[in-house]
Amino acid sequence: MSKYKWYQRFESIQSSMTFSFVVLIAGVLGLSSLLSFYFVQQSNRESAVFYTKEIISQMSHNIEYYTREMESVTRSITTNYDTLRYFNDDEHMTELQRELIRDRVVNQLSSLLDSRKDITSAALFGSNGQVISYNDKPIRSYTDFTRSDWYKGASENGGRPYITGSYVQNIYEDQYPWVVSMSSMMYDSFSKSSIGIMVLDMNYATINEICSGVSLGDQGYVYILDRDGAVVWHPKQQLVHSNLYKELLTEIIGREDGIYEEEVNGADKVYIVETSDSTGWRIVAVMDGKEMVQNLDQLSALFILIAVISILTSFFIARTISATLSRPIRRLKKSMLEVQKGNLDEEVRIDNRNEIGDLSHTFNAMTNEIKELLDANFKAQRLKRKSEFKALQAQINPHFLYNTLDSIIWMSLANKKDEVVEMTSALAKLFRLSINKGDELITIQGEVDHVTNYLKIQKYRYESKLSYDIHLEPSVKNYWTQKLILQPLVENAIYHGIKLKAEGGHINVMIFEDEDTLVMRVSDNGIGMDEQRLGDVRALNTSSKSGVGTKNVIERLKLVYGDKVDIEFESKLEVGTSVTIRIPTELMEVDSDETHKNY
Amino acid sequence: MKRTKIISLIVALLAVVVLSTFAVRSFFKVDPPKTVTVILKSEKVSEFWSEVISGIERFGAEENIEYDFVSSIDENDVNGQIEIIQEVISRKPDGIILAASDYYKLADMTAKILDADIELVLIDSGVRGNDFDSIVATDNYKAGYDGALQLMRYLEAPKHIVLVNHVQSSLTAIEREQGARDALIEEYGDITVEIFYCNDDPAAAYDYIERLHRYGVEIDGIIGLNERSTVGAARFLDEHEEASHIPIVGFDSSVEEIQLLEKEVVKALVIQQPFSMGYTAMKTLSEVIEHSKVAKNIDTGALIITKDNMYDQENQVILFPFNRE
Repeated sequence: MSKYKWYQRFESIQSSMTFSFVVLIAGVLGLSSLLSFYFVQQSNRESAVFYTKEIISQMSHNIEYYTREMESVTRSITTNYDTLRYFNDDEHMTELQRELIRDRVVNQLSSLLDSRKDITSAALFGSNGQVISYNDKPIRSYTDFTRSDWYKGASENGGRPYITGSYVQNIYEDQYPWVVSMSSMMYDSFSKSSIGIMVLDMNYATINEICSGVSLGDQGYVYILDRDGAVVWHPKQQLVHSNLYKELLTEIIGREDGIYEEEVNGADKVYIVETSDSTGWRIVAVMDGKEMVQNLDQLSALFILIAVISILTSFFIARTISATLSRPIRRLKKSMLEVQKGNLDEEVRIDNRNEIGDLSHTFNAMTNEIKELLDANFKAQRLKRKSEFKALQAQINPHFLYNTLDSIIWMSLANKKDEVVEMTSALAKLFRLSINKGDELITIQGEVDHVTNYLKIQKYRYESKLSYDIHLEPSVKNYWTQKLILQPLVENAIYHGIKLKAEGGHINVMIFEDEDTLVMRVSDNGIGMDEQRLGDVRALNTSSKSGVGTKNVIERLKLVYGDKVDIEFESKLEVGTSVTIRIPTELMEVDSDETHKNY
Repeated sequence: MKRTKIISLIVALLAVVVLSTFAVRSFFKVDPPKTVTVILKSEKVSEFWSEVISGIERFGAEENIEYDFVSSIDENDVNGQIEIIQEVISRKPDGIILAASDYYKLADMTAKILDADIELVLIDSGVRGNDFDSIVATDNYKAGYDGALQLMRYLEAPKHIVLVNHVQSSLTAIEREQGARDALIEEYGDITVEIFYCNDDPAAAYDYIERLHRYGVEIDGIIGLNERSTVGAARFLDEHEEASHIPIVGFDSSVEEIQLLEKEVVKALVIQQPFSMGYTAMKTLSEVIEHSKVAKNIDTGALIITKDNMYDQENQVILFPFNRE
């Protein structure tokens, strides 16, 4: 697999189709998911901001409602007839009357505190130096309240009630409560001149209720600052005060109402600021940037789930479609490969009525045609070879006949009657076999007899220049074989091996059985062949007459025994040549009739 | 065919992995809580320690921490604290916050705590050696030094300064005393710095100043080195017109001290930040348990409070414990 580059893996139709499908579907899906994810995220954020703005403006309303309520509570005291009389320095009042009025005002303040849990303390400070506190609570002599925020605030607020931030109220003996105060000037109803200040201290009960009821997720919260950036209410008020929690304080005061994105304590936060008109307080909502889009985790999980399922589905669908298309193509390809290898019996069976079906029909027709052509060609070849063989068989070397007859004449003249008889008889036997009706088979014994006759004749001619040996293993003599196998080989050994050698040579013919193989070997010690010629002979690559004889022998053997027959040439210059034919005995019939003679 | 099978298998596996990661992330977000035991040194909870405790509780509530408090009977019950530590070690919490009652005798115990694989943060007072992860405390030497510097504002060529201290054996007391004395001697050189130990009894401090006064000893300034010492000495000055000119700077805060400050009997108070100390100690311990790197020494700082600045936003929060409820 490593020898392929990655893109080559997509060279098959099926994989490239599957790949394209999946890429297409995944791409479209991914893009649309991303887009919708983005829009959902945007709208989530927008709706979170919208929701939060609603909440803090509701808070602002609640605070205003609360301050108006406190204002009316304050007014009920400051416009009270007794209060006004007491602080107006009415000279006509007796000391006893003053005491009575004072008691009534104190009672009024005390019952006010009893009825409202969110008011911790209240006191009236007259311009005439008179002080009335709830429950007649002692006011500390050493505290200069004119320096406090509530006192200055009321004096400078032009008659309107003033709301402080959160602070420690220190005018009462032995107590230091954290409060938010409302202070208000008292005016004489007749002269409209200022007669004192009332201060009403509120604990956090109501503000807590207003603020902590707000839920902005796990990380979101609301806090309130006064005009100066001091914290009125914060869920982590003590931590903010102790600098253990960083919060935007004066940073907010310098800004208009609006939405700000900030990085605080290493997290993205969205700040929404609104001002409450009656108190001047800034109400700040803080949302965690991550949390605003947090529920998107599930959404994105869903998107991914859908994406994975669709990609898987599209993968299988694409695979099925492409497989349906490409399977017949692959089968066609396989058949074509078979045909290429030479197996013309291959037939493609594709029943699709589409182009591929047509293609396979055409392909089948083509293979049939080729097969017929090849058959015809094969028959023609066979015929041709047969006729060549016949021609060879019929062929009588005229030189051989002339030389033989010439030898017989010379022997007759020399009165060598016996030799003439023997030679003529050998010649006759030789020819009888050659012209034998056309039987192609002969026993090994017959073939050996034939080659013996041939060698006898040649021996007369070459006399001492030629000697020979024929060794026939008796067990093989009854095998049937092709005729005229040995004689052409012996002929070649004489004409190309021994004849050219001045001192003559020896021919050795051996026929024996080696395991399950019949071995026929013709060897000589003639002049031999060089490497190149040996190569030519082995490749049957020759045009010479002698080559024709060998080639004919080999082709006939191959024709009958196919590749099972083995023909081996060995030769060395000045040493000799040997031709060995090996035929598996299982391919050969055995002649059971001992008396049978072919000649 | 085989290849496509392998590919589909891989894709399916991938899908399973991705989905299960998401599932696990959304369903098993909660870690088990950290367990912390806070070992204090006295069952009597002063204003200071109640603020420390509320700081500890505040951070404990913010984070996922399970915590409990144990304590020896009082500051002198060193053996009692050692026994408690042994008992706590056997419970194997993730971490311990320890307010050590003795600088020397607890050094072995802190080593044992660490050996038991429990994280340890010391609070308020240290122990000898280095066997703890971090110490969160006020730098008392510096506080004493700063307190003396504050007193100098009300002095002119002083000869005799009285330091009223609580107990001779307390490391906190010794460090403050050392700081104050060093500052005075650096500034004035030839000066008598007299030290009186009142054993945390205001009456003893009162009596001592009275005695000095009765014998006509000229006192140029007083430093009360803790709350009880300050209150005792200041009460005498408040009640005796003829001694009211003597400036006194005190330590720590209580309602009485604040009132004396408002009456201008006490010129200034050096206050620690107990809430911050408790909160920071718990936070630091939580970080140590999470294997974050923390500073070995954390000084939560001391503030100088005068009548003029006591109602400033940042100071009143520390002087008057904020409690909305």
